[in-house]
Amino acid sequence: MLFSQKRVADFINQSFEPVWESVRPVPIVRIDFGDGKVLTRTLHGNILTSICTPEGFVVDALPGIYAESAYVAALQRLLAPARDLQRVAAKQRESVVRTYHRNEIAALARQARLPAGFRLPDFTKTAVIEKPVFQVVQANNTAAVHNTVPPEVENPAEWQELQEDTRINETTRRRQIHELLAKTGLVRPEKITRPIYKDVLHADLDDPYLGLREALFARYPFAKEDAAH
Amino acid sequence: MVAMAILLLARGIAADKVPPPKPPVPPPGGIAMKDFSKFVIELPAKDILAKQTNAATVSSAEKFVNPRVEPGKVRWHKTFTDACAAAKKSGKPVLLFQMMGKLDERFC
Repeated sequence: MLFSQKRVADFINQSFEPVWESVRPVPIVRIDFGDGKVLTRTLHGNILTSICTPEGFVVDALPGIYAESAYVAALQRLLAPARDLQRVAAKQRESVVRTYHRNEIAALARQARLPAGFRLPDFTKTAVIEKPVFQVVQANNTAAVHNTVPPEVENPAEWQELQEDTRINETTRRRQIHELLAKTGLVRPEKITRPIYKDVLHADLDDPYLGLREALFARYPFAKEDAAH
Repeated sequence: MVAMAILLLARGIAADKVPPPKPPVPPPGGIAMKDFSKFVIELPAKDILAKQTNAATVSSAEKFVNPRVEPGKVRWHKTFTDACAAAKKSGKPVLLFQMMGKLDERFC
């Protein structure tokens, strides 16, 4: 949906050499109601946008899902360090990148501190789209479903949850990214993809159940039988 | 024995090796096969279908096919290597978009 927006697509086409990759299949939930109606949703999907040098090293990365305008703005901000790095002599690029990330950490630290007891909210996709389905799958749908008007698909910018996700991405999660890249320096994407998905996006790609095992099987009476099959 | 003879004749019909048989006359005191003609008619078709059907085919209810869609309006390179090669020529940075699922599938 994001890349169907002309403004976003035009900006990316003009400013970058873009490529997309799948890091693993996305879990898909299908509920067949038996009368021809089938509900299809995904679970636990998430994204990572990395800006890399032409040599294939990561300069910086945007974790998670962003509102359209914030995504474009964040990518615009990343253009400068990416272009600047290309003007630096190759042997100095490592220290330049580490300094860049340390400066970004300091800048984020100067922003308003998070309140005590702050809990990272669910991602937009999880809260708005996946959670209702997950409650059905968990077969423990005792909590009342919050009766809200669904956001307009045509205008995701109105999603309050998406705006909140964007804010968290640009603060907490970006700080984690900067801390990681300040430590690794210039690194290939494959070296940091799994750590970022696991520690920043909370989706361990090496876990076949993507962290859902406990929720799905802890109280499921036929878990052993299923495992045998 | 009668049933086996019927089976062989029916397969022969399917292989187009023998002409259609005449219904056999039940032996004296023997049991007449009910639905003989229906059995003879259906078995060749079932046999042909069984030979032509891919053993790996599953019902549509069991196999989910994620519909293909256009991955937006961005001009995506096919591989990271291709993007890097293009970046060396254009001077632009590479944007690597990683996700679970596939951008060119509806459910991702």
